[in-house]
Amino acid sequence: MVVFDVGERQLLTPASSVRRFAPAATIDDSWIRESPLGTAAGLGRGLVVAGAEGESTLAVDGIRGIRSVPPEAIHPLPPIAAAMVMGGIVRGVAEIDEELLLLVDLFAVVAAARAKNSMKRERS
Amino acid sequence: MSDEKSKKKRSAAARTGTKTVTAATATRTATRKAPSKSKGADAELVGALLEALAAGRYEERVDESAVKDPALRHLATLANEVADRATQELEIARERNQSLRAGVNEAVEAIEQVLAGGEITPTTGITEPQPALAPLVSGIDQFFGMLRSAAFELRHVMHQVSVSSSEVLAAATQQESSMAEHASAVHETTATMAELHSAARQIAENAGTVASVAEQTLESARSGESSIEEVLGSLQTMSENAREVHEAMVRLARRVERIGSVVEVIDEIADRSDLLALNAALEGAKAGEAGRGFTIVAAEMRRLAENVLASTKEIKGLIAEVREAADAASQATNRNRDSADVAEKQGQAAIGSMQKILLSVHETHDASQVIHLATQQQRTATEQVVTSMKEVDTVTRQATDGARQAAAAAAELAELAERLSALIKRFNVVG
Repeated sequence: MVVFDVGERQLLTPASSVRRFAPAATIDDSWIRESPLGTAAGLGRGLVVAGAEGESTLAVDGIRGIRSVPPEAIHPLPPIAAAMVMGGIVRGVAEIDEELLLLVDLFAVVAAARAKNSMKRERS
Repeated sequence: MSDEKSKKKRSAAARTGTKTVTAATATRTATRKAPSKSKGADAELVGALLEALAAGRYEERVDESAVKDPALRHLATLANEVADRATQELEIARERNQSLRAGVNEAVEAIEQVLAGGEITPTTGITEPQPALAPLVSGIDQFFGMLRSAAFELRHVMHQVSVSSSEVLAAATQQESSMAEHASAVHETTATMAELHSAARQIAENAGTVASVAEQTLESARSGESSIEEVLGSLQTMSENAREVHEAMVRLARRVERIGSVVEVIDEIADRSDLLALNAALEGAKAGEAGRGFTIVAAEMRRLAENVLASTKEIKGLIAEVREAADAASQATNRNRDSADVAEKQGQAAIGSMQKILLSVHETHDASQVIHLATQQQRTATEQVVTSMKEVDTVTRQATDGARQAAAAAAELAELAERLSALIKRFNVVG
């Protein structure tokens, strides 16, 4: 699991959903800064996600590291509950070091951000 | 003498109250001599008449017819004629005496009128005095004239004396008042001079203190000049040191900048290492159990990279602090150098001012010495003036007493003049 920060929130996503980590020095307009997770202010790293539309980079404030999380520590949300929380990007919660972290679907995050940006561009 | 003539004389004697010496009266008179009835009786008659005449009884006569003896009768006739003549003379003398007395009374009355305050006329007013009184009346007239003239003159003189005494009194009073004011003024002046003397003594003491202080100030100013010159030298040294420190700080800042550049490179390398380790860990995680060792190594690399980043971050902070300190030190040294330059210029100005002050202090010192001497002389002079003023005060008091006595004497003189004028006014002189 990849543990990362967006704003003051500490989040969790499966390592399989991240193609690689991008340095902040390579940031450009193609990076996704605003997402349902919030806005990355520090722009520490970029999480490169490979989807059907190609690679997308989600700007995050920091990457805490790669953690091995036992399955019993992961608590998936019921589908109806997952659909109602933060636009359907949260899949569950995981207990790490006695803290509960949100387990997010990075593909859904990128998709939601892309959809939102498309709507903005259409409005403008 | 005939009988008729004798009769006339008898009648005249009767008018004048004469008494005839009869035989009875002759007998009473001649009882002491035991007259005879004859010739002796005639002689007694005649003798009695003569005795009466001798006693001043001129009114007695002899009855010539009673004298028988012709010689004695003739004697009796002569005696009667003598008696008549004496009576006439006596009458004339009495009348003359009365006239004289009247004249004298008139003259005395005139004098009494004058003495009683009546008018002093030029003469007594006695126009036709008895010849015997003429010299007296003339003398009194002259006395009246002299008295009148003297009264005139005296009245005039007394008027002048009264006026003069009034003027003297006014002048004496004025002088007394003036002397009192003068005495008061002298007294105040004496008191003021005493205060002035006290002030002069205080001034002399203060002037002495000022002279001493001026002496000390002169020494202090000389010492201050030396101190300023030393400070000026120190400021020059400080300015040179500040310039050297500034140059050293500039060199330090350059080296810190170079260190910062190196740290930036290290930081970038560490960041790339961290990213590389992250990606390696990611790949290790994707590889599953096969990539576990790879993941562990990547995690360790990332930990090292993070340590380096933390160290570079700390170094950056230190460099920033050093840079800020160097900037602050550089600015401080710049300010110190500028201040030292300004202070050096001010020191130069202070040296110039100090030299002027030294000159002024020197002049002040000389002036204070002169003032000190002058105030001592002034103190001595005021002492003399105070002594003189005390003597003047004493003399003025005596003069005031004299003026007071003179005023009293003038008042007494004026009073005497008034009284004398009143007395003289009693001599009423008209015209």
